[in-house]
Amino acid sequence: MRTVLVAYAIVWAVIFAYLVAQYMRISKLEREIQNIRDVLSRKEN
Amino acid sequence: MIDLKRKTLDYLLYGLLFFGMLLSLFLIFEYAPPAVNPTNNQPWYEQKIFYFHVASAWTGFLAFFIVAVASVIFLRKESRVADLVAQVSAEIGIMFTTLTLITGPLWAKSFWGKYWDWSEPRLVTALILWFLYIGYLILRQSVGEDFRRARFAAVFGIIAFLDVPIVFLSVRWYRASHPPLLIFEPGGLDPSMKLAFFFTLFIFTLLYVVLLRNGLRIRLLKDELNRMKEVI
Repeated sequence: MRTVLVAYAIVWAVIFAYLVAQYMRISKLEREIQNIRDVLSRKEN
Repeated sequence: MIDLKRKTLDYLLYGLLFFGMLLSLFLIFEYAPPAVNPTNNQPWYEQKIFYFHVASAWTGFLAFFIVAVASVIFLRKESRVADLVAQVSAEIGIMFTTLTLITGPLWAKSFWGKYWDWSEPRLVTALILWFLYIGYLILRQSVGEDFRRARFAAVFGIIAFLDVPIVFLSVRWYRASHPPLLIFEPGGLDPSMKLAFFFTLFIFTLLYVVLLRNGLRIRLLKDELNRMKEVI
């Protein structure tokens, strides 16, 4: 049973790590977009 | 304000998933008793794979259903978001079907004594389903005009979904060793197993929603970034 439990825990850990990676990617893209918006508004001013 | 609400929802969903995953492990391994192996009447610990296996299969089916629905919406309204939802959902569906195809043979080995049986209709139709959606993603990556490719993919996504009910009903239509899902019938799961099963099903469904939401956001943000780079 322990083998099945460890396998379960590893799969959950990998999935959660993937979710965190997705979150970090979203944050990075949002920052990039915000930076470009800032540059564009400075240009306009 | 919208950003703050979105972040709060993100933290809430991630927290719910994290603790839900832990609780699901507890329910499966501590709360629910092991089933009895019908071949030797001994506790059957490998049966615990069942919770993960069925939940993965369910989530895969749900993902492919969303592909079909989003494809219909795309064909009717030519909506870019619907096209993206179909693409992201297909990727998630393949991930969960891969998990089903890995956990199934592990469970089968403890029951049938072999990993795979080509005469089992559910195994074969599930493998065909996996290949169909791999084909769907290859079609989406192929060269050609974006809109035309998306239309082809949408039609393919709707047709491929026809295999889902076939996978589900195959064990009822043909003589098969693969057990049908007997949740509510007499002799099915006992109440503690039912709780572990439905909770795991809920957590997998929530996981699907979060993966879809994240995948869609990443693609929409990439679209926006590309548009802004073109302006600059």
